[in-house]
Amino acid sequence: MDPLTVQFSLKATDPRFPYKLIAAYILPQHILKDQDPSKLAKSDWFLASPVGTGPFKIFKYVKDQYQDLVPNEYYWNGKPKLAHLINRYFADETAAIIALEKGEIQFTYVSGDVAARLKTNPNYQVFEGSSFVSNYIIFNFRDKRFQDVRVRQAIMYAIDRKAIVKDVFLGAAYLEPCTLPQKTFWPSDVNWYDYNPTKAQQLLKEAGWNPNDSLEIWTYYTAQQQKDALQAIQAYLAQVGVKITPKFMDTPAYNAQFYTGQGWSLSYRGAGLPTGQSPRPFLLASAQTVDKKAWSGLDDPKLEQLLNTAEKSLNDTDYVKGMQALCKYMNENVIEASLWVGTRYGAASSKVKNFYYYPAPGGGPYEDNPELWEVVP
Amino acid sequence: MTQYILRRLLINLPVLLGITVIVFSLFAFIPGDPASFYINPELATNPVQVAVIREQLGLDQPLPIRYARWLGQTLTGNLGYRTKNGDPIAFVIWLRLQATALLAGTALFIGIAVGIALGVFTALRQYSLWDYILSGLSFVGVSMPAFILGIFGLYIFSIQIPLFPAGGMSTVGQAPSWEDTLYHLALPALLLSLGYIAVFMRQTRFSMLEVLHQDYVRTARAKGLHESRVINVHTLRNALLPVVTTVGLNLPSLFVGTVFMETIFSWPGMGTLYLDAVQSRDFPLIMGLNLVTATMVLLINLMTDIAYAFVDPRIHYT
Repeated sequence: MDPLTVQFSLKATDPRFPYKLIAAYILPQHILKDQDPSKLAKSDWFLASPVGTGPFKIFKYVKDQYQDLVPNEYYWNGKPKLAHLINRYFADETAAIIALEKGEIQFTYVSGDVAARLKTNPNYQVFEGSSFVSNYIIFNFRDKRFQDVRVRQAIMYAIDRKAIVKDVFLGAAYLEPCTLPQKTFWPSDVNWYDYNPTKAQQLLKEAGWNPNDSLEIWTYYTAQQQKDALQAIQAYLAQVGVKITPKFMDTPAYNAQFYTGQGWSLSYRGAGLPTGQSPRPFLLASAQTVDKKAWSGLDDPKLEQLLNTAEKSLNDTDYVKGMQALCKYMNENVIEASLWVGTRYGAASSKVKNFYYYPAPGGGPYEDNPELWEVVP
Repeated sequence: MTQYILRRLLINLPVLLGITVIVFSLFAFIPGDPASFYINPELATNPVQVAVIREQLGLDQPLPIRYARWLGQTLTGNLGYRTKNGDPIAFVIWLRLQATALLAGTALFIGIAVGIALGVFTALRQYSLWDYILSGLSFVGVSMPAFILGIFGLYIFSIQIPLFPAGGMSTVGQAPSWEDTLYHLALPALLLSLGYIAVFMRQTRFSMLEVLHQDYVRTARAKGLHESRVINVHTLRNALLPVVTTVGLNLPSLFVGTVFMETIFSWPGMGTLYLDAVQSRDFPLIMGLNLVTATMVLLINLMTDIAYAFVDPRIHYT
């Protein structure tokens, strides 16, 4: 509309729209106006010579090795103090941590066990925050065995989630009552399904579960911690008579098969739901399935109605109430076996000042002031 | 010899074609395609977007058509572009090949030079203390997994005794120089060479011991030849024939890469490129990599056979 005003025209009312703008980027019209938008994603321009509104700009890009950024003197909040911000690529976490300890780099992502070690070292500062990725077991409702809510509830009672978080993730996760990682969406009267294998066995018996049945549980997770967590789940479920066999796949193989909705009964997976992200695709997306139902085969008008009510709320208070109602419904009916939300860590040298890092978008302060970052001698 | 070389080169052409057909067919059976690589299971993906990507990449075409398109393009010298980011494949492979050849080539050179020298040394001192110590260490060298050696070596020689950098091919921000590259190359090449040293040492020792007990060696000594001449001229040359075979078997690693060392030392070589190609189902890149690697292996096999003729004058090719 004018140099400092943009108007968005929407096809329908969307009270959540302002939150979706975190995924919108300002692009330079004077450079990209003649480029075919369908080819933008493959353009090397973004890597080799991008123009942006951020605090740094590309100085040098050495393919597969590093990106050297220098301050953008036109940054709206002032020119950054750092002379160079270098993004180095490490294929292996251990190599990155060794480089941090050697002083060759000043910041890297670290796993929970490394964070625990570095926290006690005055030479480092550790940042932690929610990943906003819910780990859960998704049921395929096309398998009639999981249409009985008692079976789903039994699975929740059978798994000692607190023990897994403590012993496998070393505390780097928090339990959730439904697959919505924001704590503001959790009503106070949810069922936390505290570990109770006796109750699990009772529910399975009432539901007529056959203890000789054997199931596969698919996952695309290949990190050792996640494998250990899944093996712990396998052991807990075996104790109550639910036999599962993990099937570890790489992401493309998982994607090629999971989204058809066929061939699987259970899957251990994650859903990234930072602030502003709707759970709709994870609950109801159906475009890729063979039978055009949701991935899980779920056909639940009440669930969809609760989600619609929440997302059409015209203010945040009603939105939160709506999401709490959704969470309660998901929790009572165990629409998904919600397990935990991982915590992620970053570690920086103590020589880095005024630095802020938060693992997931929307989980920290609005502004992390990159123009103030500096490294002292 | 010329006719032999030409004949071998001609035979290699249908072999290469067969390899591309086999690799393409096998790849078609792997679940998932480049479009499914784009989907992050933890993020909400637009299926329409995925369908567009699938069409843009030609994944909606039948397999024979996709193979014919790839072959036709390759015969014009164009290996195509990566599905992941559109990089020209020939350029990507050339960059990574240089990095791998530098790392694996240096390690192989050290392995051959030191391994053969130690093999001769231990063979001439059979059952001595040095023989036992070095033979024992060679067992460790052959058995030690590369990733343990890499992590351990990085920890010891980069942190505990800070002699070397913690990975990468160059110092960030500095102008490229041979000294800087050698500084970054030293540790991974030395660690990688330990396996080669062990292999070549054992092979050379075994061959030398076989040859040392031959009648013609006894005759050479009886004739009063100096021991160094007996070893270097009469013994070593004959003992090297099996070693040449072992060198030939290891040369393809110059092009295939060493995934573990490259990963640990952030060395952008062919090994990590291969891994990335398979994980991202980057079909054109996989085909390009296999074509280049197969060509190199076939040429190396030919060079190894030719080398035999130089090492062993009894061998003639027609």
